[in-house]
Amino acid sequence: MRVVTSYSSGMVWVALLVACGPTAGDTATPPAVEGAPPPAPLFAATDAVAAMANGLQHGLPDPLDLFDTYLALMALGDTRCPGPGDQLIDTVVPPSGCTSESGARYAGVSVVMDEGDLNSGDPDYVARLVGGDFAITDVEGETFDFGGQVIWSAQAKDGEENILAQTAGTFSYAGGSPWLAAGVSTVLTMQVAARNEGASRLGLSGGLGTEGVDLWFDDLLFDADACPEGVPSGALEVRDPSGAWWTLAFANRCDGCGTLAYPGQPDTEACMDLTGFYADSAAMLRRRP
Amino acid sequence: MILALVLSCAPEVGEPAPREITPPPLYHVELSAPRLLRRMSLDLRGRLPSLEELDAVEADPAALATLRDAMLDDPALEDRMVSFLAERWQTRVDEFDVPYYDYGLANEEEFPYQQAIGEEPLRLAAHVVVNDRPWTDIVTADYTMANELLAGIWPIAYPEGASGWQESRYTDDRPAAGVLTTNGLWWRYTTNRFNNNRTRAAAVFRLFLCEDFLARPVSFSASGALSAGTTSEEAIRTEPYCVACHVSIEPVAAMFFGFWWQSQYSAVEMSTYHAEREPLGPDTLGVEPSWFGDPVYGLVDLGGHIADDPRFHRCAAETMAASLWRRDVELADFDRVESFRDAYEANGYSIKSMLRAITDDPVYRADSLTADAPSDVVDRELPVRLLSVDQLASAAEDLSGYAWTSGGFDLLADDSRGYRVLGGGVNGVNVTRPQQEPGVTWALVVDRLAQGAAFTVVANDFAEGADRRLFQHITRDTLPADPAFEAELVALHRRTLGDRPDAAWLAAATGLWEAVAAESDAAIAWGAVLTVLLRDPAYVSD
Repeated sequence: MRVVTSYSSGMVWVALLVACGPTAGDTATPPAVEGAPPPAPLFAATDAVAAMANGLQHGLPDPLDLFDTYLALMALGDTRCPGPGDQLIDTVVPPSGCTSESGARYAGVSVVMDEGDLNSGDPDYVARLVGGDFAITDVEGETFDFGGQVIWSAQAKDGEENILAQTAGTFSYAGGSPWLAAGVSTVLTMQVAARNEGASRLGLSGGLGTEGVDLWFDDLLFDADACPEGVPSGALEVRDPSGAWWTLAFANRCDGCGTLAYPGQPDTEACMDLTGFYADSAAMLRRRP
Repeated sequence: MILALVLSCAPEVGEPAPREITPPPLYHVELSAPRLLRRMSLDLRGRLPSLEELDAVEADPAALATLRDAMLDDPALEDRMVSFLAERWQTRVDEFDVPYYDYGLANEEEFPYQQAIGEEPLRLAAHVVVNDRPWTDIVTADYTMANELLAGIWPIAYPEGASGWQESRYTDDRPAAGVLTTNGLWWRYTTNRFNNNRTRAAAVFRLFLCEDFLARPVSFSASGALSAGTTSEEAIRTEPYCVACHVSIEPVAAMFFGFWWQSQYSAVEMSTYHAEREPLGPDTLGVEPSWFGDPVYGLVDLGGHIADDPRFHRCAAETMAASLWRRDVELADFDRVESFRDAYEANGYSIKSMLRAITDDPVYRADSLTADAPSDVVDRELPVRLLSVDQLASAAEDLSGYAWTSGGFDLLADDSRGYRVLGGGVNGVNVTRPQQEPGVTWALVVDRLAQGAAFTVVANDFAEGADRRLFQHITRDTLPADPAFEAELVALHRRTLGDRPDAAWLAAATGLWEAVAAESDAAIAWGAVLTVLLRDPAYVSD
C-alpha cells in the first residue's frame, strides 16, 4: 500500500492511496525481535500518515511569536506589578502572583534577552530569548502558560543567513496565534541556512506535541541543493496510541516518498507533500523581529 | 563419563526441579497470644487491639488466625501498606521542585500537597494490596490513585462527587503503566541534563527488583581509562567497570524521556507527560530501550517486562518480609522468603496471601531467641522491634483522638516543621532507613506524644456527659480502694501493652496516681498514669 498525504498551509488532505504495498507474494519480513513482540499498532498506515499531517497543520512553534506575545502581555503591567523592566523577578512578584492596574495577573519568573547584538559586537547577529516558568493572565482572562525556553538567532555572513531556533518546553495561550492557542509541548531545534535569493536549507530535529499528536523530527532536512524545494530527507515519526512509533524515512530519490515502518509490522511506502509546510516554516523562521 | 551421568540426571530444560526448602533450625520463642495480636494489629491496622479482641485470644489463642484474617480485610491496611512502602520507596519527601503556591494553593494546603504527591505511587500499590489484586498491577494498571487535591492540580479525571483517594486516570495521553507513569514517583526521582534519567532507571531496579546499583562495589582506581581522563559519557560505554552496570541502566533510562522536563521548576512542564520527547531517550543515550536485552516499546511494555521478571516477585517478598520483620532480608533468609513468594504466587500474586504467610512464620512471631541461638542468628534477628513513627502516631490517635499537628502539618509525618526523623522515621532524601534503637531525640518525641495523647483522652473522657473513648470504669471520684480503680488500671495496661499487669506494676501505678492526685486532681493523675504507659518500653515496641 502506498500512502500519499499533503500539508497545505493549515489544511491537510490525504491525496491518494495507491495499493502497491506487500501482496501475498511479497516477502517483506518484520525485523527480528527477541522476547515479547511489540504492541500491535492502533493506527493503520493511512492513519499514521494522516496523523503526521495533522500534527503539522498549525506549522512549527514560532519562537518570535512567543517572544512578541510575552512582551505584549508584559506591557499590560506596571512598575508595581510585575515591576519595572520586562522580566518577572521573584523579589518583586510574590509567590502567589500579583495583579497590575490594568487587571493582568503575573506569577512566576522569567528571563528575556532582546539585544540586537549579543555576540561581542557583531552587528549582523540578532538574537531573542525568553525563558522561565510563569503564567500571565490577560485582561480577558486568558492565561499564557510558559515553562521552558525559546531562542531565536540569526546571523548574516557572506551573503548567507543562518538562523538557529529552539523551542523547548510547554506553551499555550488561548488568546494567541492558532498554534499557540492549540498549545504545544516541544523540544525542537530548527535551523535555516538561506542565501539572499531564497531559502536553501531547513533542518528540524526534535519533538513536537500538539492536539494529541506527537511528532519526532529525526534530522528532517529540506535541502534545495540536493532535492527539489520542499522535498525532505531524514525521517518524520509519529507516536501510535499503542505507545510505539511509526517512522517515515524519506528515501534519497527526492520524490517526497519513503518507507513507513512500525516495529514488528511489514514496511509500507508512503509519501507526503510537505512543500507548503516547508515554505511556511522557512518564512516563519526567516521573519525578522 | 561423569559429565554424561550428570547430564542424564539433570532435569529437562524448561522443567525446573521442584524446590525443596529445608528450613534452618529455629531459635525463636513465640510471643504470647495477646502480644502477638498486638503486633499484628499494629502492623496491619496501625492501631492497638480492642479489649474484646484481647479477650478472644486469651480465651482461645486459635482465634488469632481469624482476627489476623479480619485485619487483612480492614481498610486500615491501606495506610499501613503506604507506610511500609514509604520506607522502601522513599517518595514521602518534604519538598518537591514545584511549590504548592505555583498551583495557587493556600498556605494551609502545603502539607496536604506534599503528602499527596509523595503518596500517589504508594496509594496505588496499597490499593492493589487492599483489593487483593495481583501485585503485578502496580506496574501494569491503567489507572493511578488521586485525591481531590491531585485531581485539582494535575490532568487527572477524578470520579465526580467522590472524595479521598480514588482510582483515577491521567488525561494527558500518557502510557498507563501503574506507578511507572505517576507524577508522584518521578517528582521524587528527578533527573537532569547530566544524569539523563539514569537515577530513574536505578530507582526502577531498586524499588521493583531490589537491586541497588549504587550498592555495587566499583573500583574507580582500577580503571585505567578513567584515570587517563576519559569523559564519563565515554566511560559509560567503554569502560568495563562502568559498562557492567550501565549496560542495564542506559536502555531503561532511555524510556523515561516523556518525563523529561525542560524546566526543573515549572508546574506546566512537570504536571504533564510529554510523549513527543520519548525518542529523545535513544537519541541522547545512544541505545534503544530494552529490559536486560529484550527490546521494549514504551512504558506500558516496560511494565509488562517488569511484571514478567522473576526478580520482581522475589523483591515483593523481600520488601514485605523486611517491612514486617523491620530488618533487612539476608542470605540466610533465602528459603524462608521463597516460601512467602510461593504463597503469593499460588494465589495469583496476592500480597495478602504473602502477609498471611509472613505472619504465620516463626520469625515474625518471635518474642525472643533461645539461649543456644548462635551469634549469627542473634546478630540478624530483631525479635523486639521499635514501633515506626507512623505506628506511634496512628496508635496514639486511635487510642486517644490526639493528632500532633501544627499549622496544618502532621508533625510526625514531616520534617520541615515536624519531628518525623527525630521520631525514628525516614525523610526519603538523607535519612533513608528507619531508626531501630531508642535515641535521645526519639525519646523526646515519644515523651511529648505520650503526654499529648494521654491528656487529650483524659480531657475528653472526664468531660461532663462525654462519650468515653478509653476510660470505662472510673469517675473523678473513684479512689484506689474502689474495685473500679484496679479494673481501670488492668484495662489500660491490656489496651496499651496487650497483656495483664502484675501486682508490682499495679502497686507502682497506684502509687503514681496517688502522688499526682495529691498535688492536682484525679484527671491529671490518670493522665500521668496513661503517659507512663505510653512511654513504656513494651508500648513503644512490639
